[in-house]
Amino acid sequence: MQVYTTDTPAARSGRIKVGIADFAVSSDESTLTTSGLGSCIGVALYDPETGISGLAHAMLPNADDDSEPAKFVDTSVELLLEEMRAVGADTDRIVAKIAGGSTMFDFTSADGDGSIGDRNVAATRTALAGFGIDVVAEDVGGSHGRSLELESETGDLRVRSAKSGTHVL
Amino acid sequence: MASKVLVVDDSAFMRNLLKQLLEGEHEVVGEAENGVEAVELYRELEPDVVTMDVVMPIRNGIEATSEIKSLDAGASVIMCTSVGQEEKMREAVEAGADGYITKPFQKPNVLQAIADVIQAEA
Amino acid sequence: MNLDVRSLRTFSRLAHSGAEKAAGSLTTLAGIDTYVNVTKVELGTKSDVESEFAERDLVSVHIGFSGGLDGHTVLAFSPESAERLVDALMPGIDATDAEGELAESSLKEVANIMLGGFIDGWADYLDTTVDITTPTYVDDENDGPLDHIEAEGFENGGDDEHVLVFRNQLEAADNAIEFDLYMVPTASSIGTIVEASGDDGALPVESFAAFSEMINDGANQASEDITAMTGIDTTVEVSRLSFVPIEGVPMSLTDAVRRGVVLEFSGTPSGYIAILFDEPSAENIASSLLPGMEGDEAMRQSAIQEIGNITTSGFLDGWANALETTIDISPPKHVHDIGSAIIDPLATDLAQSQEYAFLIDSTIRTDDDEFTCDIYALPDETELRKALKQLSPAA
Repeated sequence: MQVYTTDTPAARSGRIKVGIADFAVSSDESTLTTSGLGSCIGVALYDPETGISGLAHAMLPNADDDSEPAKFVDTSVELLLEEMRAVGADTDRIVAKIAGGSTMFDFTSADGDGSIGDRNVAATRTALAGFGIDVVAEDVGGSHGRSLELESETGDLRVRSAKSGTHVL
Repeated sequence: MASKVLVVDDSAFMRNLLKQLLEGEHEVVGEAENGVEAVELYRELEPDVVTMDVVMPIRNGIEATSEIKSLDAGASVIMCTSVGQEEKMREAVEAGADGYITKPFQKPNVLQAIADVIQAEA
Repeated sequence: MNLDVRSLRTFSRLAHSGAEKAAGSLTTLAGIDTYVNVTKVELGTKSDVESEFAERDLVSVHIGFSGGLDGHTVLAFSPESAERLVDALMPGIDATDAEGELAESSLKEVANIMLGGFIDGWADYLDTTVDITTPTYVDDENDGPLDHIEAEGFENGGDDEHVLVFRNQLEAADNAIEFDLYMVPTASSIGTIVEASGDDGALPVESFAAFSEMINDGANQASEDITAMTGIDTTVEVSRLSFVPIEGVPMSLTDAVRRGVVLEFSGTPSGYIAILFDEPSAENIASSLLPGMEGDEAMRQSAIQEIGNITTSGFLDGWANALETTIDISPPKHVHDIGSAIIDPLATDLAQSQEYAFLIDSTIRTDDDEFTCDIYALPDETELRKALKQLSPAA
């Protein structure tokens, strides 16, 4: 007896949702979205020649050995790049836009290294520099939350916040 | 070549979907809502292929398949179900099913499954 | 029966991968990109779950399962989401007209396919076979939406019996369709899964139930305090204890703008609490606290802070008493931001030391919908477990 199963088709609504501790790549005209960045950081990568884009939403700076890779800045940037290259993007052409990493509260747990938001931003810069990727635009820090939409075709990153509305990076 | 298909499913929506999907490719000669109707219609219509849901009221698809196979060893029955457990597939094999499609299905899968069972019979 | 964190993790993973499979089915079937937002393992009473269905006028499809595991699964939609889904499945058919039969049939079949896929993963994990029943359609005409659910509770106490509920929030990419996938296994089936997933440092399920009671008491106290301050009658609509992957905590809120306060509490357990209002609710509550002072924004902010403070105390004092300890509360920090972004730093702080969280969420509402208040509490997992041990009957 032959068994016929179905593969889940690729997104067709043109919108791909990226959760927290999650990332996604688009090689068509989709919009990648992620919401609720507080101290978390959003990393948008874009290859202008192929229009291949990727968006990651990471929670913490650096991964331990057996941690969930998409949760951490260093490992999620690496995985995101890998997936973009697999569909035809070139690291030499890729540029980055970053947003998030705010410090909304002064928690007693924060130690001398600074807030998680600040550490996330620093880890993002280090990770991207390690691959020779330039940060061409950013909206980081502060004390407010952000939601993001990345137009994969143009690389435009729309940043929305509660107080100042939406602006494009 | 167009085959005569008997669609067995308790869901009117799913029967509708299968009919739309087979339109222009094969001829849906009958529709049954449960295993008892399926056996009755099989006798009456002598279809080339049966698409058979598993979980149905009155009589399930596994029992109906066994009975159809005992009536006509050459019958072609393709299970069409949302259940993808291996044990359930084994039950289908024992009942004599010729193919097993998991829902949700896509048109090429269904047409391929029908083409495969028809060819196996020829 | 005992529950431990390891088996809760197993539950959570199984439910999540099942929900992913179910979401994939809907994507294939209806051409709607569907995502799993959060998977929660909730401990609540049967009446909590029932009242949620009643409050939200949910349309639902129920499917029973039996064999290697016994219980019920439910796919629940708001009427609007159900209509949009039917439209995507069968464009041109009006879900509310005389052809409603086909609409109902399509929802039943969607549930059949999604819930069938959901159950398969559990069967494979337990190396067993699970049979599912044909779907039953239940709309808001029925007065006991969970009448079909005959899952045994952990105690024999009618509506107050505790049940373990697996709740998966799913939504379409464009946010137009949202729905929940519930699974309610019987107590003995939970025992089966617990056994299969190991049993270290397990706590009797009674201590979780006792904690869940404490949360209810805390929410009721908070509701009374709000009523005392505002002079407006309020009731606790829902109060839940759930076990969630840490990244799922902010994802259980939307990105709608919320206003309220965030506080840190310390003791056994320590953790974070957020008291949040939607914007109209915040306006209404500030006005009721400060009649005639609409223009004074600083004063209104202070009023919101104070209500947050008092609500938090009402919520936590009962815990401290029951646990025979003190819980200190930090000054309230006023927030006015994207809802999920407010909770994100709280979850992220805990994410440094834990992968899963116990999330407590309660909703307090006025009868006339003048305002709703959501309370989210996130205790440190290790400390909460310590505290729960004290609630164990053996301790």
